[in-house]
Amino acid sequence: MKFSLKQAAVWITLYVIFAAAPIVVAYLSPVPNARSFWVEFAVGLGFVGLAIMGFQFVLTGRFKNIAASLGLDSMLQFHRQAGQIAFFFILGHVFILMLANPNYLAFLDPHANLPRALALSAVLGALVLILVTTVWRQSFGLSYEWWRVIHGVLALFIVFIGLVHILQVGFYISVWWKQAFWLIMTVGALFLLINTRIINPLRMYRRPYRISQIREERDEAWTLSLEPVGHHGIRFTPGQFAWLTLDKSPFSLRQHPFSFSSSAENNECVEFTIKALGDFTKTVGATKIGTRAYIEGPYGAFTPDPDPAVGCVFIVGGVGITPIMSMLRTFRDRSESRNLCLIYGTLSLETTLFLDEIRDLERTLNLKFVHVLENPPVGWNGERGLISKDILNRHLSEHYIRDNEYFVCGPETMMDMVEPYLRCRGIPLKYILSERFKIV
Amino acid sequence: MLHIYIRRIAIGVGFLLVIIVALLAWSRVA
Repeated sequence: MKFSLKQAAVWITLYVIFAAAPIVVAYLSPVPNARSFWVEFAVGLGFVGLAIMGFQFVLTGRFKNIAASLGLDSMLQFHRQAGQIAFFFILGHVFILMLANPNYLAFLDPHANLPRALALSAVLGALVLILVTTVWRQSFGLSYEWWRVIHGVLALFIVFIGLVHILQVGFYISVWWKQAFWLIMTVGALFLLINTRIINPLRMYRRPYRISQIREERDEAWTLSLEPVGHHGIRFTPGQFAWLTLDKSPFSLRQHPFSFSSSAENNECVEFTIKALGDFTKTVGATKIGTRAYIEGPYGAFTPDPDPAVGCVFIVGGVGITPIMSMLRTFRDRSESRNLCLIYGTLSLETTLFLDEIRDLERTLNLKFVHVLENPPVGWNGERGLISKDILNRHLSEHYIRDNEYFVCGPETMMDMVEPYLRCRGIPLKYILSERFKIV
Repeated sequence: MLHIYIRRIAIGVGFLLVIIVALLAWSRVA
């Protein structure tokens, strides 16, 4: 399914309605006498902040119906932003309450109520910790696997203490159905976590793969071929990605997202091309043939229009080429003649992934290939430096601007330049598809 | 979906929710 603005608008509206629902339920009759505006406002922020925290489990639940229209990478980016919003809502709840009425300081006073003060102080600490470990994970040298454990535990702790806090204060939930509402919301969040961590891995357990081939590519990248064991494998659309578990049980937290690099027409095996960038990817080259693997997916809306009349312009940097290779190989296998333009920025000729194959594809596909080299060899006549507006202006003439989809994938700095550039050139939002490496 | 728009959408949703909370609190007190 392709990304649709209309569907995105529906999901966002539903999100706002569900996030605001707890406060609406709280205000339904019977209600106690109102306090000052600032106290009511702060309490409302707390309700909504906790609801946003609960919905974080939906965003990371990898539900294919929602992810198909929005793209799982977009949902995870929204999850990051929403987490920060929830943080400020809950912080606002605490500070505004205490400024509006200093008597509320008693909630954090161990002399007034030790368990309550400990729990609420711990939840505030957990909020700071979850934000800090997420935003600055790599600066702390925290591995992805440990971060996932810490993140899940802290998130559950915050939601659990939040619920206990609401039930214990009890101001707006005096009647049973209001208490039931909060319990159902919390059980729902817990179920979503169980779905992600237990039910999905169980499904994967029944569909194992084995590594059938490992190829060394240029620039410290490796291509892993995976063949299904005892099942028919996976069907995906070129440009999509999956979560890969290598040599571990599917219940392991050592699971990483990678784009498929093979043709979607290849039913025998699927391939991922992985560059040695992080703690896990540096070990990929040492994988043995026959290693057991599991795939969860496919996900992502970074996919070309099925109509071959729609052309594609790819603006790519470095290892961002992998999902594009899947598209080009698929177009080749389908003998498609759609208009294609690849603007590919790399460090040098020696480190350019798939260079020989792209040159071959230039002959079989209707492909215009613009290679931008940061460190070109002597006598290089092509584009040099980093992908820039000047280079894009030179190669994206009016002919290429119309009737095409634009796929942007590469380093953050390149994408931060290219995305607004395409909008300035008048490309409608729905024709610009971008995928960032850092989705986790 | 473009990253810049996701950030803007999230900030927009945040502001919208603050306004909703403020309006509901005001209606409660009024």
